Amino acid sequence: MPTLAPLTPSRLASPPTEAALSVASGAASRIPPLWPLQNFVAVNPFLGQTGSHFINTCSLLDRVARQPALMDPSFFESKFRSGSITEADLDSAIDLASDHLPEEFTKVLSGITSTHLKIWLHSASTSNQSKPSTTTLADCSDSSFGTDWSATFVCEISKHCSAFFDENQSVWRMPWSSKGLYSAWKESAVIDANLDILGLKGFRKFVATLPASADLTLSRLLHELEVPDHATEDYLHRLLLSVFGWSAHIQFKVRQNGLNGIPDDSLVQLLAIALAYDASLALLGSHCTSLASNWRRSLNAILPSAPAAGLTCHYVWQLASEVAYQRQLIRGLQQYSARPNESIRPNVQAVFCIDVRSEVFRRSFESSSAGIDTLGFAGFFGMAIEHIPLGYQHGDAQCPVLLTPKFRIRERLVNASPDEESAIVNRKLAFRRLRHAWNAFKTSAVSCFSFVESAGLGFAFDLFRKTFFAAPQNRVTDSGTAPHIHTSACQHGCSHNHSIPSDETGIPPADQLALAHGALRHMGLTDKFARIVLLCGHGSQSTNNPYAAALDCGACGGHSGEANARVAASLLNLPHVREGLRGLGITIPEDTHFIAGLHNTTTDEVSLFDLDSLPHSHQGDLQRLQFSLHCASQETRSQRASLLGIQARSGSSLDSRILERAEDWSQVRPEWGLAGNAAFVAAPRSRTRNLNLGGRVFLHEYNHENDSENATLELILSAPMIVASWINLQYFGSTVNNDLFGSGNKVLHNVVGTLGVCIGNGGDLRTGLPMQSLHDGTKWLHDPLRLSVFVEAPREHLSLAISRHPDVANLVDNAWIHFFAIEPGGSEIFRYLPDHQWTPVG
Amino acid sequence: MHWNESIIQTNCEQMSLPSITPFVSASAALLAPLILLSICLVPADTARRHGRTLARWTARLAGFSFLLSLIATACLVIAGPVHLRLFGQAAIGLSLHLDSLSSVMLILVAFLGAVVTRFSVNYLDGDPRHGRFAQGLAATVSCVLLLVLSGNLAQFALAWIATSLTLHKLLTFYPERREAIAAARKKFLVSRLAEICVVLAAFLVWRKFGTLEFDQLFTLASSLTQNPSPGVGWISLLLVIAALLKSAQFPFHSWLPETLEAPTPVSALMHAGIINAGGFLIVRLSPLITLAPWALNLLAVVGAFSAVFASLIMMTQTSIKRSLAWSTVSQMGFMMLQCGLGAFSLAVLHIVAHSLYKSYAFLSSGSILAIAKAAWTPSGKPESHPALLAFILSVAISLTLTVGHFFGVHFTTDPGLLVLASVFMMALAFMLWNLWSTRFPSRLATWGILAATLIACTWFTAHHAALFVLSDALPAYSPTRNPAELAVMVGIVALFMAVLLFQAGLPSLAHRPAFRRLYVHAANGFYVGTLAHRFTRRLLQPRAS
Repeated sequence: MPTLAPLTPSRLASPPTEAALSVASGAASRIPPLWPLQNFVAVNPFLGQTGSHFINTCSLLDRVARQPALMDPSFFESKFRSGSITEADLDSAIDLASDHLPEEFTKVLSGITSTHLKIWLHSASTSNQSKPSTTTLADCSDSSFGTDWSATFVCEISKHCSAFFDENQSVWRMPWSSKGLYSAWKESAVIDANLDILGLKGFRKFVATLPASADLTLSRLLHELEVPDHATEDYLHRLLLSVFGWSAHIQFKVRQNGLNGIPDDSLVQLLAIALAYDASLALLGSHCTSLASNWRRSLNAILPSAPAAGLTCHYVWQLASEVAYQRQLIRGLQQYSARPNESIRPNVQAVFCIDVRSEVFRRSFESSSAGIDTLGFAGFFGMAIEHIPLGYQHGDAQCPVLLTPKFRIRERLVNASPDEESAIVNRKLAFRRLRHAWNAFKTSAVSCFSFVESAGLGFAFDLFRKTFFAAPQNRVTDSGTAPHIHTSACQHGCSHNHSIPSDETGIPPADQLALAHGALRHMGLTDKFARIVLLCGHGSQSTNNPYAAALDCGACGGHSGEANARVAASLLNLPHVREGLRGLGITIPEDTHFIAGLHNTTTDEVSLFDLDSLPHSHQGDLQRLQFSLHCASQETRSQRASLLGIQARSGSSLDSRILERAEDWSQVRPEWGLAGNAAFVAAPRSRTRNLNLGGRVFLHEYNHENDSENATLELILSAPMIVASWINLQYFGSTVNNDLFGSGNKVLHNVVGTLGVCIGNGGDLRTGLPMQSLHDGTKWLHDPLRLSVFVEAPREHLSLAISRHPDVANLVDNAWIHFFAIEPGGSEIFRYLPDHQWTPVG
Repeated sequence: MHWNESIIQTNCEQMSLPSITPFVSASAALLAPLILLSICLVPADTARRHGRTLARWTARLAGFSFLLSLIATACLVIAGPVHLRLFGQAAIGLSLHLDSLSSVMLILVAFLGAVVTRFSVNYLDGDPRHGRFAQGLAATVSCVLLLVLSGNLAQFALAWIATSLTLHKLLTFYPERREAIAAARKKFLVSRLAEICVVLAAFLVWRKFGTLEFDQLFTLASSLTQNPSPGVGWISLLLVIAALLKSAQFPFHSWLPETLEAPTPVSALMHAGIINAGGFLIVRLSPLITLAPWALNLLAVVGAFSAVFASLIMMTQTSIKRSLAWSTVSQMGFMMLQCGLGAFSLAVLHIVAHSLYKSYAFLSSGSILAIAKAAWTPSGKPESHPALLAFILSVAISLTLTVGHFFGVHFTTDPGLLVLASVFMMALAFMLWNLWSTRFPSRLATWGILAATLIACTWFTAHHAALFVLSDALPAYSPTRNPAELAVMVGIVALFMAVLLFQAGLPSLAHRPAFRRLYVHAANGFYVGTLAHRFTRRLLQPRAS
């Protein structure tokens, strides 16, 4: 039996720790963060790679994950056959590719015509040649000796991570969770006999010989394995990809700690753990010597940067698919008509989130009656808050993940005295403690039997009700509470009751004005205010759905946008804020009133909030608004019905069937979310008002004439556009490679540690979106297209803004998004090419 | 066991209703599985093309068969138990045994079938094999329905085998999931073993009694009570082993927590409708099994051990479905303990209540996030105070005794009942411990007492109801216990007490070195699964050339 001899001092002489660590952190930086399900927000799964060109990432993934981030060739073949990609699209894609690809790829491209592409596509979709790719020792052993180590190691690492990071599931917690990830692993792995039983004899002793620090383990094992230098980073990346979900979860933790200034090397620790498992095969396994040399040979066979002609052709097909979509959108955007009667005061102005689902609703709402103007703005309305529900000590951050909340807003009871409020809060707390005790009674080892006998029969009722009588209803929030924006030092809301800590919540008066001013200016709402301005956030309604947060507002950190809209509306209704705004040049008429609303994206109902503060004079306006909203809801539902597969005979049966979905506990597709998203338009609404954009476009209001210093422009490019691109790439990744970047089949989902899902028995945490959010069983509902961004602004301003934001420049220059400039007021559209070149299109 | 209850024995001769009622009852009962089974006649090609429509029809028929089960039960209440021999000879044939036990199980399984098939209409929507799945569910539910209605042992054994075969199809619904196949293989082996036991037992029964019909068997068995004969021991042992295998008891439990690779409705059905077939076997054949008390003792000991063993493992699990699966192993263990102690009606109550709870828990497992979000978590629990625990325990004991006295239960006459009651007392104590151990405002004190009283009342009511409903179908079994048996019972109570003490002291206790080691081993299920995995891999994998 091969020995597990402790490494001799001579072999240990000088493991290049520094070098190993820098390679390890390089590999770690390729992993995107994954938010827990509670606050699930879209993340660009290629976040670590935006510094290099999209096609380079494809070739990297080809190398380490055996699949580029592109759809299967057969997908493009059927698109071409159905006519959604035309010959002309292919030709323009070839031209475009030679304009924007890195040099080594354009060389491959020279002389290629659409005929070549078609031939390539045909051969690629029929043949199935396997390409050499970076492997782990476990992969190597599995393919040559028929072992099952890769899956086993994934299970072992996941077992450790889920115990270590578990938030609320297990009653008996891992005793080492206060230590570091690696130390905790070492403590438990020397006890855990699982691998020894499975045939990896001596694994526990091997773990015991490992150094106490992850860094040393990493460098020592890399040294020991003699990994070829050029392959080290790819090999470590491959190891992390084998537990991609947990890596991404740890990357999230690292990111959160980083925001608070706490250094965190947990991802490198995970790498050390994964490496220890893999290396154990070369040091302990029964075939260790031949395995290690085979493996090294396979690593040496992979040349790092040899651009494959196949990949380039594949990429051009992807590009053609995008060009085909852009062709239609550009034609629409060019049919520009002058703005209708600007001088007339609209009856209602409504601000919606830029979310693609708002586009459908806005179109319906505008057509429901005359005098309705709508605008698009990030759905948090500029209110970066932490929202604390009544009776809780802490809340969630309700703002885009690129920001940190600036204010804590506590929910208060409306029209209640401090004593009444504290009584209600105390009752709530006592009730929750009773629930806690009941829950312990239900799940503990000693009492679960008695729980079943005393309460089990009652579940017959629950089963019956949920299965056969899920009443269609629009879930309306508890109207008795409202977010309280004032600080404790401020006017009437002041509380003298000590049981409700009122410390450091609310928005200080000094900041109120700045916040209101920023919000109005950036949403382009600075004059011609209507009598009613509706600030409409959005949220979804589904039940029994671990992915509920993925359907909520991304700009509110994966929550419903209600609190943000209510805070913004009450802020803008404050007399002293309006007075201050007048001083800053924004005059809001006396008779303008802001109302907060929430667009339920599952049922398309809109609820309005805090209506009792609406002056009596506005009751008529309110009734008209509610009627228009009602019509818009019905119209939107009928437009969405076909995608949801509902064929209803009448409007009311359609309504009830859509409402049913929201409360149906067996529903895996309550709504389609942002599936289909493909473009982002920042322009005045008049540019898009006459177009049916099919719920595929993020719409942001932008009028460059009012933005002399480009402040709003830069803000749009660096925040909402990046968030939109994250969403877009999340859908893209989940569609092109659901095994790696998606979360698979929802019917097998199993929630782990109340923070993520795994499939079935266990294994790795899954990232991204489930198949049910992308595919309806027969076809893809999401067409994977990189985001096409259109901004109506002078090109020189855009070039300047891009160059001032490295993040934006990375996305634009490396083809993670397509970028276009619309000539202000005109019909010309220009495509951005690397190094700030603009070519006219259309 | 002394419960102050009156037994209502209905008999069709005493009734004034036309004598056709038993036949209505029997035909409704028999139609329930058959009507659902008819969905399997739809050709595969049609099932593939109209998956969703077929799933809808399956749900409708399952709902209809639930209605039929209600009709059958209503007629049963009017006309009394029915044993109907449809055709066949004494040994083999189709017959129907409809008494309170089988009608309770009939309603339960038909209800679960209706729920699960309805759930699957939307849940599997878009799956290319939606229709196939619906057919699989229909077949499995019908087999379980036939199992509970069986009137003779041969039919019982056939339905038993058919259930595990149809379930196997569902467990391997996604054949591309390697884990699913591995776990299903494990289950396949265990199921075959259980089937061998049942078939062997049936053979021995036929040799001994000359019949397999339940009504004749039960009469013969009750006449044997006075002087048991040696062959009966083997029959009981085989039946007990079959039950332990079927209901995933130690050490053959490891397949159950590993069969989560099937869609959620399958888990719900398996954990609620199928896993308790072992328990049903014991209760159904209890007139036979009680002839060999030592077999029951074996059942009690293995059951108690499985209950505690699996619930320790459950506490370490980090995913919702795995926690639920381990909880099933432990609940089945407790049910086996009840059977072993002769509390058959309580075991049936446990089966029914657990089924309803567990199917709900599986189907709603996606809601765990919403629940966790709203939950209150104690901010740092203090060290456990033994005095407080002793106080709480005495509160729980006196509460149980008081409420029990009010319900007219005498605990002292049956040690078996005392074991079960002490587990209940410990459970109440644990609930109160969680309410009182951190902070003790007066309001919580009253609420705690109120909640505990309420729980105790429901517990006793449920037990009374179970006794009342099932008394005519189950044998009364209260043997005199010898000192060794009493010692084992004390041991069992001590085992549960140890778990209570451990849980009450958890956050701080877990940091002691011995408990750290225990944690790692428990989180691995004490490696039983891994060993079984090695075994099945060696047995089932084709040898490499």
